[in-house]
Amino acid sequence: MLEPEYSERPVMQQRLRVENLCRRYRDTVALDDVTLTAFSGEACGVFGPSGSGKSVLLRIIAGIEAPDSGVVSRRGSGCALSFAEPAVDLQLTPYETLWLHAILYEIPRRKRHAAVREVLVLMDLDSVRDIRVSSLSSGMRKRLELARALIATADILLLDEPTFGLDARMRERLWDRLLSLRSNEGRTVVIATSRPDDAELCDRINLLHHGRVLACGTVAQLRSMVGPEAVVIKPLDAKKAGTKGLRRNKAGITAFEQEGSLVVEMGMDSTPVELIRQISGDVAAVRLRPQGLGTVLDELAAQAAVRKAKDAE
Amino acid sequence: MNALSSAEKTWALSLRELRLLGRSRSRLLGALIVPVFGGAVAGLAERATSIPTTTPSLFVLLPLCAILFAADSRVSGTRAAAALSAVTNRSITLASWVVAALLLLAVQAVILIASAAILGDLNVETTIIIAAVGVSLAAGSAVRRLLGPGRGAFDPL
Repeated sequence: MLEPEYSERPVMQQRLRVENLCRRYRDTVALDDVTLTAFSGEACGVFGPSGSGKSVLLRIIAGIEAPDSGVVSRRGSGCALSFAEPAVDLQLTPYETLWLHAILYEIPRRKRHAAVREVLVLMDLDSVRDIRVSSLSSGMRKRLELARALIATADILLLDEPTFGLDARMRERLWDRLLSLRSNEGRTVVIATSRPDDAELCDRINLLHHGRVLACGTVAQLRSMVGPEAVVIKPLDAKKAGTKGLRRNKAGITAFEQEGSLVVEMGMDSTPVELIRQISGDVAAVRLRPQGLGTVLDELAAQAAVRKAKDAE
Repeated sequence: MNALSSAEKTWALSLRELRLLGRSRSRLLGALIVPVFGGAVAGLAERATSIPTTTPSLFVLLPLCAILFAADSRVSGTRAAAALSAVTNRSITLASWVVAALLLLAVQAVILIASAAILGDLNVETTIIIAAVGVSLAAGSAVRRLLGPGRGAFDPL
């Protein structure tokens, strides 16, 4: 499901289109009729739990694996792929690995050394550039794996769990680079992740569950599909706000005081209005705390399961 | 992609294969010991029986070496190989293996013949050596093609 503002974009801006992709491994359905589009100058997220089919999707887009059915259409100068687990030759050094990829990505000979050096510095690997990969730590190997994709001049970057195993500083540095590639060079960055905080940095997110895209949209659009997670109420007098009354009156509701506010966590079938009505005392402000993407995915998956069960009946 | 960049990619990938072979002590020893022993056995057998055994040994041992080199899971079956196949097309991947195998087989043929000549009396013609290397390359590349990572198909947008 594409939201209007994106579906109305001209076809010329599309860089990647995946239509009705299906992939099966014996009895396991890895991808079930997956359709998605990515545009130039966009960070497109594929968010889902492990086993939802994210890696298979990227492998098919990259051309390593063939789908059972469906079409992958790409525009531009190819794509670069970074695997979730490092996929680098253990007997080579980081410099040799990146030099080889610089040749494969057709970086001109005179610019090759500078390009390799730049990503080595970016990923903090310059000090180990001549040590064999087999001697590097798992974190360093992961950084080399990312460097392998970042050196590419390809129009489409496919990154599978890019921040897995990275420390906070390196994660921030990677995201700065990715967003810069997107904005300044118009590249398309497709990120498969199970981390909500990574997915939320993407321009659009495809929620993938058991091989199906449940929804696609911006973070705000996806959150609005299931309503707020909690209502934060700022009463004039916190002591008179009556949290105990709330607990008694409404099953499935928990309420607690936090820094002078009353935080009410509500069930999906409750509405903020119902909750506010139950609060004794005057209210100064009401703020809705949005859902996390993980909760949105769980809720949409539950809704899809109910629909499927009804269809089966 | 012009012919020059294709050639450069092919050569770079060939060097990768040879580097990986060279940096693994067990693989390097295996690649050298097989022709040394094979040549020695063939040479001694030829001297003892006067039956020319070096020529058949070339057609057995060299294809065997090529197939082992092609099927080496430490090179072609790794995730690194899969990552490389995402970047380059299959014809270049195969061509790079042929170049690397050609270099390796040439060295192995020389070792085998030298080993057989030292221990026996032999007179192998150049055309026989070329034919043996050719058969080995064909067998090895068929195995490599079979075991190499598959490729999906794309439509241009």
